[in-house]
Amino acid sequence: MKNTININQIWKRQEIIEPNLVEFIKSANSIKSKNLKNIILVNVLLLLTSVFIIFIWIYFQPKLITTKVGILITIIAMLIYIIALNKTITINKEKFNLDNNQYLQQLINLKNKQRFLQNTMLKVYFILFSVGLCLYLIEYVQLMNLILGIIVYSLTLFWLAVNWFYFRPKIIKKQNLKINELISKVEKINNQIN
Amino acid sequence: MIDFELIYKIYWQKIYRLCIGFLNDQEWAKDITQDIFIIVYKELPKFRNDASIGTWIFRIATNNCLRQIEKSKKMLKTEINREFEDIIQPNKDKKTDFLYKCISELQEIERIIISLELEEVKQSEIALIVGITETNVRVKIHRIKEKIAIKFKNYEEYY
Repeated sequence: MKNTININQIWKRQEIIEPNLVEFIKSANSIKSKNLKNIILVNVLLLLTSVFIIFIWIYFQPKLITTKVGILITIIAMLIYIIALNKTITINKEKFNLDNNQYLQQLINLKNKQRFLQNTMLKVYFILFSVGLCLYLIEYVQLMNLILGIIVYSLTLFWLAVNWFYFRPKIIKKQNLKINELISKVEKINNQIN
Repeated sequence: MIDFELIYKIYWQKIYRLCIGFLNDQEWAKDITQDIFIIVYKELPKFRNDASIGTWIFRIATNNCLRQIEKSKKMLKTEINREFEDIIQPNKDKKTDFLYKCISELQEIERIIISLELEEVKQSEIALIVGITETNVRVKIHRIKEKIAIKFKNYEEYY
């Protein structure tokens, strides 16, 4: 076929000189995977958060059990959130040596898992954090008069409600939008195969 | 043990062309080619002979191209830049540009299939890279070539 020969010839006119191999290997060795960097960052964050909360515990010396439980629940909330972030990074490690069909399927599965993990963990984090904070406050509110105590709790609960009903859905919507967009693009391509 | 240097020499051009075919953007294609070879370099010790080395490299390359769909906004931006490039470089081979433009207008999987075909990858191997049957590959190639031939015919009549 005349057309085929022409197209083949034209295709190969696009040329490039490959970079120097020694330079390439040098740069390839120096590049740490993006995943590894993220994992390190997340874990440093975990460490710093724990140190900070332990510092609060030691410095303020709480007397009531509710305060201690409150602090513990808050630490657990943060730990769960950061562990979930860690997990999201590791599940996102893609295998590239699959065929295109399997690869796209893998991408859809990973993104679905990521979406579930993010949404669920955010919910768990907010609930635990709210409970922890309310328990933590009891000891200090007891020292106040009744009206001030009611005001402090009302403001705290109001703030938690704003977080739950405004910020949480907003974060989830933002996260899901990006993932959903990618999933729908990938599904569209996958339909070209099947 | 397969020699990375040999792979580098044989496949760099091929992978680069595949990336341009998919992205229609030279700078972006250069970056992705480099990323692909970093993966190949790091994963090569783990390569087992359950597929041919070519199939293995092209799978990594095409999947990396597919991964670029997340950054499609960049593509729009660089397409505008390409118009300027054409003005600056009047001697650039228009037919080559036109072919790559035609390919970039195809659906994603079609772009991959035709790029592999033009790199003279066997149809049985293309089937293994994309994950479809050989018959399906043959049918798709036929259709894609028809589409491109029509566009070229119009192009040649016009210029």
